[in-house]
Amino acid sequence: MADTKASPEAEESQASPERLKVTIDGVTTEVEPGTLLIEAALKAGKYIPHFCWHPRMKPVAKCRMCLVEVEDQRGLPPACTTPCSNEMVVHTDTPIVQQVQESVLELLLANHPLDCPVCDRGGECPLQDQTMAYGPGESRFVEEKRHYEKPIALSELVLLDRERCILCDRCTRFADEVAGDPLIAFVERGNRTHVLTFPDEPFRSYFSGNTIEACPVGALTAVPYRFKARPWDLEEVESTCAQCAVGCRVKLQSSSSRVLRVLGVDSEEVNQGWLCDKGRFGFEYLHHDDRLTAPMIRIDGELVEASWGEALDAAADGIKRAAKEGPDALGFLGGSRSTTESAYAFSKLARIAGTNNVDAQLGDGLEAAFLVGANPRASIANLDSAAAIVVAGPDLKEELPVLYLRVKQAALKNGVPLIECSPMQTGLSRYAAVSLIHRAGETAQLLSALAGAAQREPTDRPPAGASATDFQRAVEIISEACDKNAVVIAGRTGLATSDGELGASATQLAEAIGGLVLPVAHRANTMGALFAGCAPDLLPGGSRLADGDGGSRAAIEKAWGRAVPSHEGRDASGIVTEAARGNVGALVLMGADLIDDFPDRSLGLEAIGRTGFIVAIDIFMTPTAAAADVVFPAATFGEQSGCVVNIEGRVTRQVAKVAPPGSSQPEWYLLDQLTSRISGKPARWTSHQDVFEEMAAAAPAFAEVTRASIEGAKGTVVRASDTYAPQEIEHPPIATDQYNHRVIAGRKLYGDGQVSGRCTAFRRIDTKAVARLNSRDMSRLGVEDGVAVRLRGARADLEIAVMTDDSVPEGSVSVPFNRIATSSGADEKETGESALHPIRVADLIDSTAAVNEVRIETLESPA
Amino acid sequence: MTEVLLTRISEPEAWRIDRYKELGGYEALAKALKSMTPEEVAEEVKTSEIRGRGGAGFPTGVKWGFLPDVYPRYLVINADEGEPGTFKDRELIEFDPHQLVEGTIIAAYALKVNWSAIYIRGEMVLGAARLENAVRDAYGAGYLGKNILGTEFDLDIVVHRGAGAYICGEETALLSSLEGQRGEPRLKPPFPAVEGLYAKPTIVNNVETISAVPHIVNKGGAWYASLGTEKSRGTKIFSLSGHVNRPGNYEVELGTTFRSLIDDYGLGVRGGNKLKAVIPGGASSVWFVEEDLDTPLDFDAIAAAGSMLGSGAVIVMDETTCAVRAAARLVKFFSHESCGQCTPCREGCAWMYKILTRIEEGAGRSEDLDLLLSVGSGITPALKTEGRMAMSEVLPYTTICVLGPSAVTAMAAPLRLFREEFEEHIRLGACPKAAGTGITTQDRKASRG
Repeated sequence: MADTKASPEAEESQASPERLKVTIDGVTTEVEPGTLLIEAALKAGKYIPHFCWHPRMKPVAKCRMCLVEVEDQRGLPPACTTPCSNEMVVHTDTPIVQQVQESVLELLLANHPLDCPVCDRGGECPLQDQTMAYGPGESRFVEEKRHYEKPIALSELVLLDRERCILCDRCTRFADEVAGDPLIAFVERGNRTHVLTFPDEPFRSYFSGNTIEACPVGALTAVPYRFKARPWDLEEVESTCAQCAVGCRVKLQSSSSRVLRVLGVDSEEVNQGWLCDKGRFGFEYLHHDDRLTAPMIRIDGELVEASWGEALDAAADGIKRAAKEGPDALGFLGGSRSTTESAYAFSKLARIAGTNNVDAQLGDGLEAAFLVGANPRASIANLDSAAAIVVAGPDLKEELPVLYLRVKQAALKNGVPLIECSPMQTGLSRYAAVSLIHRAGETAQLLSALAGAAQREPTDRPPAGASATDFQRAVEIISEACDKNAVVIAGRTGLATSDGELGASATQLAEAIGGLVLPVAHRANTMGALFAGCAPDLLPGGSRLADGDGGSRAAIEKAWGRAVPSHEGRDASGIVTEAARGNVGALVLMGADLIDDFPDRSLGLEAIGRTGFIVAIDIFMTPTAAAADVVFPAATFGEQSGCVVNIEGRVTRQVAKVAPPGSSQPEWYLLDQLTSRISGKPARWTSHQDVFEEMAAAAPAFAEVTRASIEGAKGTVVRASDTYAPQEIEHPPIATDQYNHRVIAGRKLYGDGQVSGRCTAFRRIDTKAVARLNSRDMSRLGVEDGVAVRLRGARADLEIAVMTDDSVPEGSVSVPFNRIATSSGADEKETGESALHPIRVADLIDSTAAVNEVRIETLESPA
Repeated sequence: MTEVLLTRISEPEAWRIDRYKELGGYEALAKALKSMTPEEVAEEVKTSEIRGRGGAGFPTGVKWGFLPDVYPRYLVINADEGEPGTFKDRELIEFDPHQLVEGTIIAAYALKVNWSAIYIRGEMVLGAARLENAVRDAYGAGYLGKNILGTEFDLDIVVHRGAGAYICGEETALLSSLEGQRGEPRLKPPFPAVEGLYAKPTIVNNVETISAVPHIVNKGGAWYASLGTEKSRGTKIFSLSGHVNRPGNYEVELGTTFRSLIDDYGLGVRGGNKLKAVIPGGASSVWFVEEDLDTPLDFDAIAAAGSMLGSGAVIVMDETTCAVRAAARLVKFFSHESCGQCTPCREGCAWMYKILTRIEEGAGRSEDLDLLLSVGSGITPALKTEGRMAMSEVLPYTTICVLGPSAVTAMAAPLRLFREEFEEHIRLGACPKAAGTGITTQDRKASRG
């Protein structure tokens, strides 16, 4: 103890507990305790070269490029793993540090192939750039270089060139730490170390593309982007991804008016730099030959190309004719795939045409008032420090993948207890403290029971067949989390169940535990469309049409110069049901496909068949568009600018980068033209900004949202004028039949939809639909994996192969909603017969029922 | 010779528990558990001043004192003996496994540990089998498991076999490997004593160190400290190999000279040949020559002479040895055993090996010798280019662990001692030592595989 020099801990405790003073190359800066030297240096404006360090991953100090000298410290500590201490004096450019940097670069390049001219990374390569800045300028390596077969496929999407790899461990760490899919790893050792997959197990991660972006060299390349461009030929804009409602920030890069690459932007609020592979690679449909390029009208039973004027006149005439029959003779469906501006124009057109029958959701979401007005609403970042997270919704990994990453990170890294309320196990199950697996369609009952239990209401037995032990565990967790910002994530659990009370019971649970609600929706701009008034009971700004308080109605009527209809509007289910009865004169469908993208296919087909006049605004000739009377080609993501609203209510901008094909137009433009023809007033808008300004003026909720405030990744968060307050909840009893199987129809990330089906990147990914059953049910039925069975549903029978999957509880059957279901369906697709209507899971579903059940029959053995 | 640890080696079947007990085995265990507190046992070890026998020579008692008051904590025995030329732990395990088991139990008692692992080199097939039998028999005799010898003390020992990686002898790589991860050294701090196996406080000790513990308990720390020199107490087993007449393990009091070890125990250099060089403390130590042989076998004396005692592997090379080939072979070893995580080691070792091989095969260039030293300085930036190398030149190093620096020593020490011989290879375009042996460089190429 004779040593008078204080230990580092003692020094730290003497300093201000808040900030540490660090001097780097003479520049003094203050940082938070726990800040790494490499981060402090960046803050001080000093770049310390590095390869393996990545701000979103655990530092490993493997590349040894960031070694520095610290006064009074022995050796050469790596800046990426050395935490700052107070009064630390650091040198990053001493002769010895420079010697090390030169040496590391010479060694990294020794075996590097230097095939930069044909490398995708050339021109934007950290290894190139740092060699330029810190390298020795020449190589003394005259030996034969290391050779590997190049490239090898890690998966359908990612290729690996091991000769280029510098073994920084970023991709492998990402796969393990961030994605939770540790499917790539270092094999061999020393000079022969390389990255590889496990035998017969490809790197099939929904997040695999992030490894390409994180790679500091060109070792990992994307199958869709490989050899497509030189980085310096790419132009880019920052935008918001249109694949789901998380709203990840992206960079959209193009050359010669073709989108070639999508990269992630590190937005702390939303995606922290990550993208799912669907968001990253799912853009090729933009340039597909099937894109609609000109308006079409039906003449003598055939759709033929027409001029915009002819098509607009025809559409306006058809709508006006139907409108004479009263508000319920009209139905407007869609908007959730569009920008908020276009959705606003759609909502306005419906109201100007005289109806409140408008819905952005296709009977596949939750109550609109809940989605826009959920209160108190959580942000995505709230998940990081939540006291607990309750997930009652779809499999987030399949439907909102980057939200899944955030929830997983909260659970795994921050230790937030996760309660999953799901009809079957999901991607999150392995991170959940409790998985309350229960009968499909009864999630709301379960949430209400949890809310009751949190308020000490005795429950003798948990509802919906959930396990009593698990329920008790969950109650303990939420009780512990009371009044500490727990987050309840609520969304539609599947398309075969109506989940009618789910928004209300999620709100009830959040209230009971003093927590927050994060409603989730499927399509990218569902929230934006609802905020724009694309719901029968909502006006732009998310105010309640029926209440009419807050002056919203008056403001809107003033902006429109028209009274807003006052009848009680119908939602998508109501509109389609009435249409199927032949009671709807005109349907206007904007990015809404009632045949392939509606939970109840037979009802959708019936509605299309019995509606006199249909206008379809779309990008492809969907089965629905093919049955329409007027078809308008629309511009889409990357081709038009506007704003979108994500699940949090965050408004950010989508920015146009390329021209739409043919004479396609942004939807707001053609909707304005239609509105003008119907109202007899001149069209008003010449740009999306005009639409935005009218919307902001008309909707009080958007008053704070200015063009400036939505620039950038952070955007601005809107709140609905009227918050959601559920009425007394009644859960109608649901009968169970033990001879039947409850249907769970969730969406998979990769499906056969109009968009995904047209992305070559996904072509090799297996999207065959199978029905998944618990092993006990399999043996009860006496069938084996791969055998076809018949599902007898309320609407139709479906022949489909079965697969054992114990993540499905006994008595349920899981079928993917967005995949072609049967082998015979696939054959039909190939032969071209009934190609328009391949059999889908939606054929089974009766959307008017609370739950759907099927009887499973084995097929007679083929003769 | 002063045999403490090796006393039972020549006894027939001392690896059997009954034989071991007849020879006084497990008496120290009974003494420790029944008449001493854990603190008293630890104090005896501290008093003995024994320094770790794995290579670093850190005082064991001091290391034990680093454990924070956190439980569970673990004791891991490093039996992954892999340093070229070292074979002392193997003999201890094969012929006296109970000595290690008894030492482990006593050490665990002193450290308040209830779970211990012995990580044994996978290639030691006989040793692992004998050790597993010894552990099984110790359970049977009530020396392991619950309530050992009727006390409150419980201990389980797991014998874990390595899978053939030298780097797993590095204590943090060993812990990663034991956890089922890739055997890669970890960043320090945190040191294992604070955050080791499963992120819990962990003491990692060498087989020889732990095998000495029963003797320290039996005869007292002061007795042990009376052996050896002032800063290097006790006895140490030296694995003598290479060009001597009688290679083998010799346990001597620290302070004996190299000359005595080679001449008195090893019976001199083979065939009356002249001695060329001695690798004094394992493949990673700086080479000695004839004039260094009077250096005492003592941690500090060897360090003062510019090398290190290391694991006690003394490799003798006579005048017929080709320094280039020896260096190439040693660097090949380190290159082959590099875990590959740090750039300088992964790429640098392989590059040095390629250059050395090229010189040995007759394709050397005049600039290659400076290039070698320059590549080495990428791993150890303070490496000098002239004069005899000193161990201190490997500090600082640019890698996580000392495997890379070891390869630099294996290259630079011979290069700087025998530079003319390297130059001669380049000048002749062939290995001068191969002349007259009938071995051509082509043969060597072929045997290199």
